[in-house]
Amino acid sequence: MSVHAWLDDRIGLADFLSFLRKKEVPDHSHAVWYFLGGMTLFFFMMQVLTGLLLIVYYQPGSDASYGSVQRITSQIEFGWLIRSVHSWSANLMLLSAFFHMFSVFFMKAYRAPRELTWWSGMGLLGLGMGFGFSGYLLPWDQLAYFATKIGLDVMEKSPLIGKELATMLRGGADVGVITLQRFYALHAAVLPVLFMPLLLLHLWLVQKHGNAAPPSVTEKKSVPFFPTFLYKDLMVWFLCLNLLALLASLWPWDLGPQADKLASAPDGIHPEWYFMSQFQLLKLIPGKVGPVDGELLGMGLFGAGGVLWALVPLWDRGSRGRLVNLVGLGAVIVLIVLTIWGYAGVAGKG
Amino acid sequence: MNYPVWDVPFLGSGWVVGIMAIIHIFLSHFAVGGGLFLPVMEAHARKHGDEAMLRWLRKHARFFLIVTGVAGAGTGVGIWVVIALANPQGVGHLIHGFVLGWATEWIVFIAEMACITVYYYGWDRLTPERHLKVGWLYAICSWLTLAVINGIITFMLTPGKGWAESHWMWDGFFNPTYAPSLIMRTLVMWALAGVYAFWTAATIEDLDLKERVLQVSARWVLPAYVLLPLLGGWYFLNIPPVSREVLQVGMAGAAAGNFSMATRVTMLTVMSTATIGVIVYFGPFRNARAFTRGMAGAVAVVALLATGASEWAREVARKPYVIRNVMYSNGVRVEQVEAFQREGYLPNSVWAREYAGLKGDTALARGEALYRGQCVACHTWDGYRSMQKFMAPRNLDSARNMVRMLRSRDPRENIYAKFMPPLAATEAEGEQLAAYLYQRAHPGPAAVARK
Ligand code: HEC
Ligand code: HEM
Repeated sequence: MSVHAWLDDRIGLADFLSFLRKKEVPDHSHAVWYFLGGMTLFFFMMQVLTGLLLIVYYQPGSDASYGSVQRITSQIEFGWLIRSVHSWSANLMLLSAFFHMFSVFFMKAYRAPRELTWWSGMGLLGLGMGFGFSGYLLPWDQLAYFATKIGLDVMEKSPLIGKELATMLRGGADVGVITLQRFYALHAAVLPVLFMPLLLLHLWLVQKHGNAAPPSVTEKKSVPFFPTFLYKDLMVWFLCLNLLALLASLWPWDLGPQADKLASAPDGIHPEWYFMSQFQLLKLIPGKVGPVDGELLGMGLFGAGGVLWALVPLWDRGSRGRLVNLVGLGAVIVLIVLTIWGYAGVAGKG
Repeated sequence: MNYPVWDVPFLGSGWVVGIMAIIHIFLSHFAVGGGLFLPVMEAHARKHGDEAMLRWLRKHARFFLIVTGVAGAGTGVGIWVVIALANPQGVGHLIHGFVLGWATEWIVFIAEMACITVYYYGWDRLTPERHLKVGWLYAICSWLTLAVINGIITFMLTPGKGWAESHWMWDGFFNPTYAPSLIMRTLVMWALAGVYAFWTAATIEDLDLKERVLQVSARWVLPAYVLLPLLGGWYFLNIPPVSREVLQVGMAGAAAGNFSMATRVTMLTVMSTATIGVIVYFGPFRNARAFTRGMAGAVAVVALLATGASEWAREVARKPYVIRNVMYSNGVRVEQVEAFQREGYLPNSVWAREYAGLKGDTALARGEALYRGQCVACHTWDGYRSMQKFMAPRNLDSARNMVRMLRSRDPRENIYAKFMPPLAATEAEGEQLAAYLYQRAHPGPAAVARK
């Protein structure tokens, strides 16, 4: 009996394949954007794989953390590779998630019946940024330490539960070993436990509703998911893998000097790129705007924008299509301008 | 003799040469591989009376003419410009050493250009037999351009024992890596011929023809796929043991473990090759009809990556020389080192002396002139291989010790001897260099006070 037949008897392989063959993916001039979700998924899988390997050697602790990361980069066979891929892939995952989000936004794929897909996606992005923020501290080098300190200070100023959340994460008044311990728990246990089911929900919903074609596309053309789309998806994944290998070889991830709380913050310290726009907004707003605290106002503005963004399936009604496009365009421009501005502000200082 | 220094901020002149070279190689290798592809396919199509394929081939020949004749030749000139800027001493040495080689290269190149022009524009005017003959002639001429330049390029890495004794041009030309390199490059060229054919075949509308063309083209990729690992091993065995070691241990002590050039290049090569394999198998072989430009582009990008990785490895294996045992990457000839260390670098170098003079001939200015003359060939201040970064953690003493060590040619005393040229300067000049590097990396009054 062939392997195929053996498996077919037990798990219904043929049914599964014929199901995949029937599943269709719309084919039109904007169809390239359908790869972005899959790319995000690929980078996430790389995160899981490399993360599990890093756990084997990583040790949390004020001296242990730095030492173990140093050992991973310089002594453990292929440690440099695993660590570099984990760091690069984290950034690429968020980058593709952002592109993915904006592309589904402009294709209006959040419209009924895909509201839950959109919301679960927002949740995934939020958790993804949480992964980034918590992971950044783990090597416990100078940059990590001060960037986290600033990040938590910003969080502290956020309206509603900002203060409580920051204190809880920090585990005290100052960033220290407890913070490190908590961030490790978040990064390697809590966030994965939250992320996985949400991801499954997201994928299940995508599968249930199929890909949405943008309203501007009227011609109904499509390609079968299996083998045509899957082959292309696989190809894109391979390209991503090449990109990761290239980045890790040419620009292996750095490790700065060990964190030293007594040292002054390095010049031009700044958060990772995906927090840069908030960071810059806070810098631009004066300390006090009338009676209101400037930072509180800034975070409030950002929060309100985020809520509005998340709720788009609810207010994109009737003839508001153009308005939604303008809002989306505005959001993209504001984010990009603030981010570049933020980098220009710290350039040459660190 | 010494020349002005081309200081490219952030990237370094080496990368400019590298990027230009990789692009040029990607195009020129197509010129050679495609040169054989055209007559072989034409003969095949004529034998089977496949008119449709002939029509496609004509379009492909036009694409070929434009890519190789314009972009390929253009980047070729580009290479001459950037290497002459980046390493005039090295270029000078190669021109003097291989006058006959360059002359031959020039002649076969002109013949190649003439053939492809006649081949394309004579498509309807020549009889099929004669047209095909021109095609074969083109294939031969273009391959000869490789056979010639290959002698000079491989000479730079492995001049060989014979040449060291005789200094006879042909001994240098047919050096130890000449043969493996020639065969490897020939296979890569055939593979690229296939890859470029995917590009023009991807948009063929007649699906039967598309399938025929893609499946034949995919076969051109196959020999490289199967044989390159073996040939790579042969090549590797023929490079000098020191270069092998450099590839295996990687650079500097900081990142040890497995972080070696050999590992990185092997990884990139294996990965890109596997990718090409997957795409070519599931694309042109299995699903030729659904193959798209996007996929063809993906194969091309990955092939470019593979080309880049192997050229990079060759570059690293050559460190710290441009021409092994003859000239260092910074243009200092091996035989000059002793004199420079005795008499000084500046007294022997017009441009460096002038440079220091323009800046007031202070100790720091002399240090800077030395840095530009002997270090910026491989280092930039704050970009690639950043000197700023290397110097930041050092105090003045440690900078001095480092520079002092650099003067030694004995690998037991100078741990950097495997990948950095010895400092060809007097001890006093070395002090000036160390002071300059230290000052620039630690600006401000604090630095002076600490001194
Ligand atoms: C042939 C190219 C080449 C030249 C020329 C060269 N270097 Fe280097 N240098 C290297 C390489 C390769 C490394 C290792 C880089 C790495 O680890 O990333 C290096 C590393 C260094 C380091 C760091 C070593 C350590 O372990 O901290 C210093 C300092 C340095 N070079 C100084 C100099 C100075 C000063 C000059 C000029 C006198 C010079 N180099 C010329 C190739 C070169
Ligand atoms: C962070 C991890 C994420 C992963 C791994 C992921 C994965 C995927 C995948 C594989 C698809 C199907 C392919 C496609 O249409 O692109 C998809 C679709 C979708 N995703 Fe995500 N996604 C993530 C984040 C997000 C975010 C941040 C949003 C937006 C807030 C989002 C909203 C959507 C929507 C609305 C669809 C349906 C698109 C359609 O029907 O065409 N996702 N996602």
